[in-house]
Amino acid sequence: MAQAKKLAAPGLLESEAIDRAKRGDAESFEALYALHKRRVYSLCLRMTGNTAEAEDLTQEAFLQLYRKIATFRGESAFSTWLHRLAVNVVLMHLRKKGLPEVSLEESMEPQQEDGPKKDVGARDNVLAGSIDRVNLERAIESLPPGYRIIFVLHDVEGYEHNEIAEMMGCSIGNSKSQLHKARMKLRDLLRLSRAGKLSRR
Amino acid sequence: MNCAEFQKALPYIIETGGNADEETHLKSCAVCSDLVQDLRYIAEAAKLLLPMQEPSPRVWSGIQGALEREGLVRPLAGTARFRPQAATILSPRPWATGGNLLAFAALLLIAVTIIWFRNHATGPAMTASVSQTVSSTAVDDDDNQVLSAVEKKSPALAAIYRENLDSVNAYIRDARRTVEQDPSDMGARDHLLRACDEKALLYKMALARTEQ
Amino acid sequence: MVSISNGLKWSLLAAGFLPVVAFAADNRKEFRYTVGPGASIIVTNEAGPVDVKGSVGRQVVIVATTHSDKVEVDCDQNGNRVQATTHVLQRSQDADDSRVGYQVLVPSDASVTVRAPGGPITAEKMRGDLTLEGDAAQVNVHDVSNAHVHVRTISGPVSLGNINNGHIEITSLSGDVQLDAVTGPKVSVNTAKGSIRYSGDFEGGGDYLLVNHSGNIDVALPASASVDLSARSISGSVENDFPLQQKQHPSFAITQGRSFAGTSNTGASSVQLRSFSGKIRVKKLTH
Repeated sequence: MAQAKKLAAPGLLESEAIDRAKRGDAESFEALYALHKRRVYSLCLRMTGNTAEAEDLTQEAFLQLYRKIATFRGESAFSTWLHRLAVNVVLMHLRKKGLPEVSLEESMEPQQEDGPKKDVGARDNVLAGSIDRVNLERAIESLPPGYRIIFVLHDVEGYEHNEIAEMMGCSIGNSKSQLHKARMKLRDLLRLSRAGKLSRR
Repeated sequence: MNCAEFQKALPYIIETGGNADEETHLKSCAVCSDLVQDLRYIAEAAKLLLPMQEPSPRVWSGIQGALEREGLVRPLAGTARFRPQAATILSPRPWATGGNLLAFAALLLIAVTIIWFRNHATGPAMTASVSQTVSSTAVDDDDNQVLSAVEKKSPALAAIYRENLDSVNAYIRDARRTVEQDPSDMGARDHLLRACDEKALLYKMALARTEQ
Repeated sequence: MVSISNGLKWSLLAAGFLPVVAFAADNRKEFRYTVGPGASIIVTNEAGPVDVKGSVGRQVVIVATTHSDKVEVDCDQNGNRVQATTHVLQRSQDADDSRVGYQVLVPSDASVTVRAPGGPITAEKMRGDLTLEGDAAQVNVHDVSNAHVHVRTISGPVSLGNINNGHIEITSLSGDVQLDAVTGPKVSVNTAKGSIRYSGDFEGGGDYLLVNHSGNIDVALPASASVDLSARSISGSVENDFPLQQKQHPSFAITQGRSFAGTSNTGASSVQLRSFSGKIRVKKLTH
């Protein structure tokens, strides 16, 4: 298995930790947590934009993992399995809260506010090379929840549109459209942020 | 093809490429070209975002408590002890100043205690090194450092921190004593973890005060 | 953003009621922002009250009242995040000099974080998540639904009332915690020596966990409550005055005066009461 080579900690392969965890070994649980906590927490934090929620969801994701670990057969990489579980935990939580995930009545027409200015005038400088990680993280945090979820799942976490559509219960077209809107919104936020920096110089 | 038509199709072609008309427009229109460049750049930059954030220690405390309450964990007999966190945290490190010191002390406290009661949970006598660590005055020195730091920044709060440090230390002592007497008492172990969690919270809040 | 400075001293002078010197430095500033859904508001205030209230609409209104020129209030908006921070410019012997009072009106779905060591902190009528941190601050939260509520104090008492479908986590080292009509999928309270009082029906099939070291835990619930309840005090005592169908517990032996466990009605909600050396009392609510 691909993950057999990964070390859960010095002297302990991830595959060994998984086997031991299936038998209830406390230290193996801890090793798996230490190995994967950042990725799971970062995912929860980016999708919810809230540290308290993200911590609770991280806890829930790992608990569900440990409850189900006996059923893990190695058909996929452990990290993929855990990641998908974490995404489902977050999405279920957001559904319970009634937050909009994807607009099901998505208009196919480009929204006025989403389009760039088409008027004649000097072109704005492109963003390439001007964004740092902190600004991008902040901008993602500022996105409306529905846009943020799709953006994080696709662009940050690497899920394909067909996977996102299945998880979110929407169409592939809807997923693409929402992703586009998220990126457009980020573009606006990042340009504003850059303009703000330049004006303070 | 005009810009409106191109941008209407853009969500569906940005990754796979468009038809001949769309490609022609993209090559000839500076506004749409800049737009596509920006959107692609954002997508690429997002891929490079690393999972940098770390959850607070209470997350693991919560998981651990739940695992024990649900009876999902038990130590394996005869397996080699595995302590990656301890190896990292307990190895000698240069003392950092100020806030880093407090944060380090909080983490050390939790790690030491978790390792300590794992030793007890599996029955064998404490190793000399762990025993020394647990009964050493290192924790007391850290407490004094915390209190001094709070006193310097917020004298009004120092008395409150002192009193509560005493309370939580008493909690840790009581819980630890009970676990020593009966290592199989999951409830007592849960109390010990929670007590450490509360002490870590106190350290964390003290750290926040000193940074203000 | 609109910023309005309001010198109290002039109005009081005009009224002729009060000497100038007592109110010379009172200064009220108002900040207004428009935010989208799921906004995040963060208030950091070393000394002084912070009152947060949810409202309809998409406006955030922050009113900050200072009492000296030794503090400064900084408010800004970055996208959907609004941050208000008190900066103490100069430490003074007079504690009032660094006090700032905040009144914060936010969209009810906003997430709010308040760090106010002195407090008190109040939050009401919210549907968004709350993270409230106060060292000695008294924290009051009421009329909140469908939200995560995280409260951390060192010695500040905590009071929660009328919270529905909440995900609640409270940690206080020595502050007393009072919960009235607080329900949700998860309610967790930890104190070291603070007492914990719960009054309500533990509704919703959630997980309720009340834990302390040496304080008392007092629970009052109606006969209609559907709970799977267990209580244990390792070296303290337990008293039960609530009808339960007794049962064994998987993690500890039932010992007279030290632990009990049982169910009521369908046992929908899990209620765990744990004290190290305090007294746990469970009573039936009669009203």
